[in-house]
Order: sequence, then C-alpha cells, then structure tokens
Amino acid sequence: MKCGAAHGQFFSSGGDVSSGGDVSSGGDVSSGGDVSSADASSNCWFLFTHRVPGPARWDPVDLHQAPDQLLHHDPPHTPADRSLSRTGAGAGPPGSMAADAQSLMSMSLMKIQSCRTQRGGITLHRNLLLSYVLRNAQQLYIKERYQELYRRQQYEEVMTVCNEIQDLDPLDVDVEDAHGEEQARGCGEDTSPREAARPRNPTQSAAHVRAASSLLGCSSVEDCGKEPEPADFRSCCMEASPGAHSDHFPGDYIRHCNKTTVLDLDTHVVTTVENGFLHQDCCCAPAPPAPPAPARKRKVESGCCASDPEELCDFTAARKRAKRENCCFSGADFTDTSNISNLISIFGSGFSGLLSRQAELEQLCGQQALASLGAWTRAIEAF
Amino acid sequence: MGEDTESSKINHTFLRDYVTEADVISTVEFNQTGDLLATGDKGGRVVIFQRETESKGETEELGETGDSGEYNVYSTFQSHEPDFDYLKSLEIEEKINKIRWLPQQNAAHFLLSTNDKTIKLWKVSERDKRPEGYNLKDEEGRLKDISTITSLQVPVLKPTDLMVEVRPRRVFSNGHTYHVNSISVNSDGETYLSADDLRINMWHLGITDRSFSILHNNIVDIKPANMEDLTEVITSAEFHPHHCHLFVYSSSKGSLRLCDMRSSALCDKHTKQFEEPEDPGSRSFFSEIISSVSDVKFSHNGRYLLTRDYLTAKVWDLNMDKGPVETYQVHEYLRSKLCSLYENDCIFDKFECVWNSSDSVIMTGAYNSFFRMFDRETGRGVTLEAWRESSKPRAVLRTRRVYTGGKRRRGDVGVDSLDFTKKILHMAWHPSENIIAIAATNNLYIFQDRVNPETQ
Repeated sequence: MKCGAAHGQFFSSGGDVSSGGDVSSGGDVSSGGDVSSADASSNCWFLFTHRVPGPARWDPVDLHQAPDQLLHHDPPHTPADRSLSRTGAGAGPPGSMAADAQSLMSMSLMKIQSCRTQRGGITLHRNLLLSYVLRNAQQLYIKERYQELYRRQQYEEVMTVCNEIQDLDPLDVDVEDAHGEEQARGCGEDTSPREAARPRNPTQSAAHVRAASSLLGCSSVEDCGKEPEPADFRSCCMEASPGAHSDHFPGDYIRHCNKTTVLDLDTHVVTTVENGFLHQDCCCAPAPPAPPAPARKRKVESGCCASDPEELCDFTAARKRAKRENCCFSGADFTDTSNISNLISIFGSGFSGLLSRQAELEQLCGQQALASLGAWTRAIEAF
Repeated sequence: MGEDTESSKINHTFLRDYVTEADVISTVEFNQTGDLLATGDKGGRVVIFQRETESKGETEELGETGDSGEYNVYSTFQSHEPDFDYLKSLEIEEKINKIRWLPQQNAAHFLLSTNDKTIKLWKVSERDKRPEGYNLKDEEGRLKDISTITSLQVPVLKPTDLMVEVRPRRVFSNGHTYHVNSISVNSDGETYLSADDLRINMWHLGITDRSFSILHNNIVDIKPANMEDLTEVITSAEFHPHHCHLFVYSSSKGSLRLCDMRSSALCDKHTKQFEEPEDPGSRSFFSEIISSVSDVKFSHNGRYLLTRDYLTAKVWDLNMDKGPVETYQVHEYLRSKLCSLYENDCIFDKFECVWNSSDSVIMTGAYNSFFRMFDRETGRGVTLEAWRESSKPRAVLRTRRVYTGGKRRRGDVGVDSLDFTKKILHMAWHPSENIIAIAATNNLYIFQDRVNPETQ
C-alpha cells in the first residue's frame, strides 16, 4: 500500500518484526504547519508508527524549542561540580567527605569484584576506570584522615607542651596563652581542647594528657573495626636537635624536623628515624632526653591511655599551624616508606599493585579493606 | 485504526515492558547509499532493513517530493554465537559490537560484523530466479526414474519470490586478546581496521589467517611492558573517509591520536595528538570516567572529528590539536549526580555520536529515551524523545526539555524523574538524506525530516 505520508517507522523486536500489515497513512496529512518552530531553519522530525502499541504516554504537548547554549572551551563548573561529595551538596564537613570517599572505595572494590564473575570476562576499560575512582577516593580519604589525625595530635601535643611549660617555667604564661590561642584557633570546631589547654595546675598535667588521650583514644576505638592489616603510623614530631635546651624552647617553636617516629601497630615498636622533612608546625620538646642514636626502639603499651610522660617528651606541640597542613601527609610522601597500610600501597599508581595484590583483594570485602585504613586512627592510642 | 489499537492493546500489553536481554539493539548502521540499514543485537543477530523505493512517477503524482520510502525487514540472520575460550575459561559474548558496510561493488552487499573477539564478513545477496526443468531431478529434488524420461529439456530460469541469502564469506579470528570495540573500513575498499583495548589490527578483506602488516601483527600497540603501568586504553578507532593512510583512535583519557601509516609499520608514534587540558576546577572522583571518549567519528568532508564523552560532545578541527573547536553540553545537569550514576553503573554507558550528511548537525543520545541534535551553525541544541507515540497517525516529534532551573514549563522533565534505564546509545544518520535511525533498548525508531527531507 502506497504510503506517501509515511515519514517514520517504529520497529519493536521481541515480537513480529515484519513490517507487513497495516501501514495506516492517516487521512489528513498535516503539512507540518502546526509545529511551532520559532526557528525557521529548524527541522521538523516526524514519527510515524505503523503499529500502534497501546495506551502510551502522552504528555501535554509543548512544542516550544529550548535552545541550548553553545559553549566554546568554557565548561561551566559550579561549586557543586567541584564538590567531591555526593549529589553536589557542596563540600560538607570534612568528616562527611571522608565518609563519602570510604563508601566510594567500598563500592569500587565491590564492582571490581563483580567484574570478575560477569559474562564476557574482565573488561580492561571498566576495571581501569574503577581503579581510578578507587584511587581518587583513597587519596581523599587519606588526606582527610590525616588532617583529622593531625588536628588531634596537634591538640595533644600542644596540651602536653603547655603542661610541661607550666611545669618548667610558670612565668611563661603568655607563651602558654599563645599556645592555647593558637591551638584553639587551630582546632576550630573542637571546644574541648580549648578547655583542656588551659590547665594551670602542673599536677594535673599528666592527668589531662591522659584524659586527652582517652578522649582521642575513645574516638579512635569507634573508628577501628576489624584490624586485618598491619599499619604504621608516622607522626609529625621531632626530636630536639642536640643544641636545643629548655631555655631556648620558649622562643623557638619552629624547627626543622630532622627525625620522625614510626610506630608499628602490629609489633608496637616505635622507630625513630632520621629524615629531612620540613615540619613547620613542630617544635622542640623541652629538655628531652637527648637521643644518643638516630634510631631507637621502644616498646609501647598498646593500651588505650598509655601516656607515659617519658614518651611524651618525644612528642611536642605545634606552635603554629602550618599554612599547608597536608604538606607532610600528602599521599606522595607515603609512597616513600615501606611500612604503609596494604590498601594504600595497592593503589599507589594506576594498576600497580592492583594486579599483584588481587588475591588479597579477593578476600577483602569493601568494609574490611577500609577498616584497615581505620588503623591510622588507632595510632592515637599510643600517644 | 482504532481496532488496531485495541488488538495491539490485547496482544502486547503484558509483553510491552518485558524486554529480553538478547533483543537489545547494540549497533545501527546505514550502508553507503542509505538503502540498507543493519542492526545488531545482544543475542548475536543481525537484522537488515531495506528501503522501499517508489517510482518517480507515483511520487510526482501525489505531489510529494523526494523518496519517502519505508524501511522494511530485508533479512535476518544469526551472526555470532556465544563462544567459550577454554584456555582462559572465559565466555565470549555474542553481542554484536559493531557493523560496518563495505562499499558496494556488485549486486551483492557485504558487511562486517564483530563481537568481542571475532570479525565476520557476510555476503548478502538476492535470489529471485530459480532454475526449473531439470532432467534428472524432479521439482522436489528427488532423482527421477530414468525410464520415465522420454525427452530432454533445457532448464530455464523462472522468477520466484525474492529470497535473500546471507552467507559468511570470511571469519577473522584470533586477532585480539582484548575486547574489540570498533571496526572501520578503509576508503581503499580492501582493508579494514579493528581496535581492541590495547591494539589496533589492520586486515585485508581477502586474507583471514593473519593481520595485514608484514612486520607486526598490529599497527598500534599501546600495551605497556608492565601491565601495572597501564593508564589508558583505546576506546574507538576510525579510518579517514578519504585518505587511506590516516586513521584516528580515541583513548580513555580523552585524547585523540591521528596516525599516518606511511610513517612506519607500527604507528605507536602518533602524527598528531588532540587533547584538551583538564580544567582543574572541575576535578572530581569521576574525572577520569567522564573524560573517557566513547565514540569518535570523522566528518564526511574529513576535516573535523566528533567525539563523545560522558557529558559532552566535541568537534575537533584536524588542523588544531590544542583543543576542540566546539563543545556541546549534552546533559550537564548530570554532573552533580555522578556519584549516583556511578552507583547504578550508568556512568560507564558509552554513547555514540553521528554527523549529518552535510556535517552541519551532530546528534547523540542521552537518557530517558532522549536524544539531542546540535546545529553547528547556530549552536542551538534540541532534545527529542524516541518513544512510542499515541494513536495519532502522524505524530510530530516534539521537542523536550529537562528542567534544570528557572521557569518551569509544562512538559518539562525533572532531572530526578529521568529514566536511566532508557538510554539511547546507538544511532545512525542516513548518508545523504535527513533520515535517522535511533535504537532505544529493543526498539528501532526511524525518523524523517518532513520539512527538509533532503540535506541542503
């Protein structure tokens, strides 16, 4: 049947695909005049179905064209675009971003896992993209955790120094105040350190430190679930250079760090190693026992509030917050050391490690793997 | 018409929403004249449609201009079957990834179809005559009893019903370790390329047991020495429409590489690399995913490239490699939803893009059965929907709009009410006319421009 007015066709498979049958041409051939086209140069596309399926949706007709803007090298990005959190809600409090990163990581791991069982085999492209998301999330998560950790540790160290300064030199009140101020400014949202940083009573120093530890320790207990992986923690701390003494201490809070202490949470061995990192926000410990050797190992109690005053001498408070807090904690730094959480080393770059550790990954479900990263926060216990 | 609706209601209502996975269309392609349209699906089947030609006399009689014939099913055949790689214990999907037609040289038509591993060349030929009057065989083909034969006759060709035969002529196997994502026929008509994630092979249509290159198996090999160093894969490749020595391939990092086969046998060093520097302000978890190019197409005049990544379509000038000359936002409103789209895997969808015959309009698909057309001259984009229209005999394809803010108009669709299971991934544009074929899951829509049927 001649169908001069047929301008479109609809084929649906699953049934009879043959196009024979009724091709209704429609009595009145509208010439397209009722299509409002504000733009004379626009095309009018007609669909003609030769097999009518049934009650179909028929939304109110709106033939108004919605022109779109042509963008030349100017992709718009709103604050929402830049946000790394879900649904473009904007950058929420730091904790939520870490949580988002965490859920993204677990999701990615599960997707990678399911790729292995899907029909058609492993698609290289998809797995590569998944590993990129995983790495991005991991980098953000690490950064967030360290910022958090760093803040907590700063408070801890500030408090320690405050108390010890109090012990050593009760006249340095303004220094201490400056400490407190700095710390209070630094730990913006956390009011308890502010209060805890104010103690004047030297006898309570240790107790406060313990309290602080327990405060931090408790929160870290929440965070750590299972602990399948060994983890190490490098703290931002320093030993005083041999020339520094307590009398120099009050005026000189900014030193170049020449040593860092690494705590192996599995063996509970603290290793102090030399390095050349610049830690702008560390300061010397007052009258520390001068380390005779660059490396020193000690056993540390794994208990929650192991605040041995002796150990605390090694850890000092920050006087000033670094402008770039994450200078010490950027992911690149940690690829240098060998004692890093397994998951981080797995996703160091691209596929590297992914393929070599795939067997291990298989045993991990997303949450378990992430719990290993929670090991970072357990380090606070030791301090 | 009303009765038809009723019967359709009864017969198809409960089936309408049930889509078997095997029926999902996975590729659509017109041949060089536009008379034939081939579709491949996930079940490994190929369906070829042919355009009904009408004689000039009739069309002029009705006052119609141009050829407005319908497309009807011409042939259906099973191209690929599910396969199993015993060495790797992997199942090979029969899904047809790409179909490409060869330029027609005689009465028969040839097309290449490929799944993840194997490329096949098919010959599509018609038979409308058959010989009749055999001496030794009767009508059913049984041997006659010789004693009954009293005279000799010469068999004559008698017209019969048209029969379309499809036969495999070549099978190009064992050329790819990874999944084949694209094939492209060279303008020389003798060779074609096939691309997988890490390699591009060049084949001669007459030779199946090896790839064409003399020294190497591949003309491009981006596999790193250590797989752990892998950072990008090949996502699509195409020969230049006129220059038989040029081809382009796109990568998952969003870059395009133009290669000249005259320079070396192994084109690992690209002649030109087209890359747009990343905007650091828009960095997110998913930057790598959304910058991955899912399709690349040369313009018909060979001067431009069209690429599609997750959120945009870009036009590149072959003479300028610093960045695209035009960027079209296909569905920018999804940028804030990337996390959810990652969750439901939609962010991995690979959309195709096409040029119209005069290279003045580009088209690509989106979600909710929407597809978009952009007029390059005006910069205007329009959103159209591929959906079963109501019982109106001739329904105008109305433009749609996704509501992203501002004044909401009647008929606008909110971003949250988009149906992400209805995605338009595959499409084709007639080589010379304004006829488009859109694949929406298991449905094929063919639209024609009434106002401008012929391309200006």
